[in-house]
Amino acid sequence: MIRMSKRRSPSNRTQRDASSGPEPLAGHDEADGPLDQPADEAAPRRWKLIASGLILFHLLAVVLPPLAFQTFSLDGPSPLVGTLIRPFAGYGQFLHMDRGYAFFAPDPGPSHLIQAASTNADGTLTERMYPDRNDQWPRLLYHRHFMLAEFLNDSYWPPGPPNEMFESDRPAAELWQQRRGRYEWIRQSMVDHLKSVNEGREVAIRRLEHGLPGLQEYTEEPIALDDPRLYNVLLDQPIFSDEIAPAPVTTEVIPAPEVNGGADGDGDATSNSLEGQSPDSPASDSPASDSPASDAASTEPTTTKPEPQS
Amino acid sequence: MSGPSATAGSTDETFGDALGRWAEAWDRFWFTPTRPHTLCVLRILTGAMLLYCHVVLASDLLAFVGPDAWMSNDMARQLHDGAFGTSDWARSYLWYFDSPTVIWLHHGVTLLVTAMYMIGLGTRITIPLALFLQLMYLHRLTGALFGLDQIVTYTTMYLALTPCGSRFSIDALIRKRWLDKCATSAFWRFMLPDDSPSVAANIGTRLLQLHLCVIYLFGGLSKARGETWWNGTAVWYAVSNYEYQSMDMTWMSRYPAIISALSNATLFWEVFYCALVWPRVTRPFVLAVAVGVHASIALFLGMITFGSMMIIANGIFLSPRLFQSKAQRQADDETAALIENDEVADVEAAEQELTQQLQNPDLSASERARLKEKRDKIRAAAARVKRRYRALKKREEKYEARVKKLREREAKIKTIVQKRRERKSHDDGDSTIE
Repeated sequence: MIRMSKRRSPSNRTQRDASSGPEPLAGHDEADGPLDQPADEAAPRRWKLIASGLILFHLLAVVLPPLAFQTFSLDGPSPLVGTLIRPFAGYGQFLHMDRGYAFFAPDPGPSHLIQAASTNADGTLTERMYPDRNDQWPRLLYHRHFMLAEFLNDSYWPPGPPNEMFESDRPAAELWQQRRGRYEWIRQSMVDHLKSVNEGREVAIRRLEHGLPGLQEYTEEPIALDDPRLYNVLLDQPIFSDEIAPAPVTTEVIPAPEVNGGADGDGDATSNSLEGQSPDSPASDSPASDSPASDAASTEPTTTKPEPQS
Repeated sequence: MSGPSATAGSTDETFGDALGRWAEAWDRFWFTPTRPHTLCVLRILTGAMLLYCHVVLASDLLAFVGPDAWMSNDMARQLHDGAFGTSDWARSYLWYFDSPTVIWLHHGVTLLVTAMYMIGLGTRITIPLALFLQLMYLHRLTGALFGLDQIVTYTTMYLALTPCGSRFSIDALIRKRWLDKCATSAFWRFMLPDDSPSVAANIGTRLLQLHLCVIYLFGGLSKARGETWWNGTAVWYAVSNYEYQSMDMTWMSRYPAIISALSNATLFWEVFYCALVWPRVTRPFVLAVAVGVHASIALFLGMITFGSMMIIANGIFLSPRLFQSKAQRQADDETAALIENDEVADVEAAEQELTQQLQNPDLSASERARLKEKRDKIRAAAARVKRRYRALKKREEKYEARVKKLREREAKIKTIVQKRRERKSHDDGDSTIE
């Protein structure tokens, strides 16, 4: 590298000046010792070679994870990127660099929420939404809850697999089991947390999707962004079934809200009603009433931990 | 990154020459010492953001860390230890902390270390330690993380490599008092770095710059795979998302052309950020758009922390001169002028004079340190001047050789032309005779 430094020329200086960033100034790393002896430059040269190697390693660990993310498909990452990333994977994972950086991409989509209901001693229900701006403050705390709701949704894997799949494609069936197990464990961890902060009361949760109005629709007929029509309960049902909501659905259900009673709508109230919702907790009841899930949501809340599948 | 010069590709350049030129560009890009002032400012802002993150976490700590958290200790561990097929290195000892007392004590230490990082106290230790603690939290908080956590961690990671505690810090104040110790001990010089140009500051700067380029490039490429960033409705879907919204921007629906322009501009800006942020001509524009985009995210999309942190990180492209004192800027200009003028004799004379002054036993420690720093700077300048002189000499020789070659070729061509003319006139003479 030092050999290259000797080649520095006015034209190169101009190039450097046209480049970016920090102003290069006197180099104290090159200053020690007599100036005309090339031997003095051997130590920095070694140092620079080592530093260059480390820099290259780090840069590859920075670039390859988002590349792997981009090339990922149902079959996994591309064979080339999957092989290339292997030596850097652990390093990137430890430094939290195994990210795809796909912010609002490929398209900004709907939000996902968690609706939780806890059963009180008198049999009434307390419903809360996560995230909820009235409950979680400051905004960063709200956003952490928002991310948890999105994480639950991202982890979702439908019930299954069908028995015949074990015979036709056993690895795929086992992968299915594993993913489903992962989702159930995550959901159960959330249920357990909510139980712990609700004095041990029974808690059940389900996922909601908050859709976005299209630009044209909105222009033609403006709609409040928290309009109940934009919320949907995400059903937990086997995808291989022809039925809309095969019975019995044993997961992700909450006791069906009763029709009468009042709620103050702040998400913290005892809610027996489909009415009285506030703009900040619009989905606390409407999805249950509008969706098939409300019919299916009569089974017991899940409380047992599924075993992780190996 | 500055690339090889415009002469690359010329016919008489060998592969070795071209390779050497690229290697020289690499060397210059990574190993040109730079002042740490920009990094020092980033340290304060990033430290403040990280501290804020930990303070907010403290407001509901046991909901995120501990056995009864949203993600229980077991769950968090199993997401990384292979229980569900994925085994990675994102390990954390926080998976094993069950006692609220221990968790709170740990968090107290984390707050203290991060506060020290922000104010610049013991930065050579506190910043790497703050990074380690942050990573432990990240690996524990799986599922509750977002872009803010990434950028604040990366910035901390690169700051940990640099002498970013050398200015605007408690360390800088301590250094002033402990000049004697710093003059005599390499350990204290490392612990309490000065703000002289350093390769470490440059490497940290470059790594963060490149990491930002990667983030934006892949952010842009991911968007390019979608439909709405192209058809121009993406910004509408972002501002109409109730959960993100912090200010009602639905009035924008009356101006679809603006929505469309913003969507397309964001896409192109992200994709081309990595190329346009380097040339000085386009850099201000690219950074101004960065401020606009992230300020919008901060103000309208409810992510004031993330938006602010991205603006802070983009500050890495600002010159350290912006944060230097006027006197220091002048001193740097003088040194640069000395180098520019190639006055080897002047430089060497100045160095000798300083060496003589340093031999004076009556000098105070601070005076001695100041002179030593100045002498080092001049010595480095002299080294550069000499190296440049050698390079110029070499180039001159090469140029002369080329001119000689061209002249020889010219003479050869002239000879050939002359011969042809003679032959032609001879042929013409023959035909006339005939």
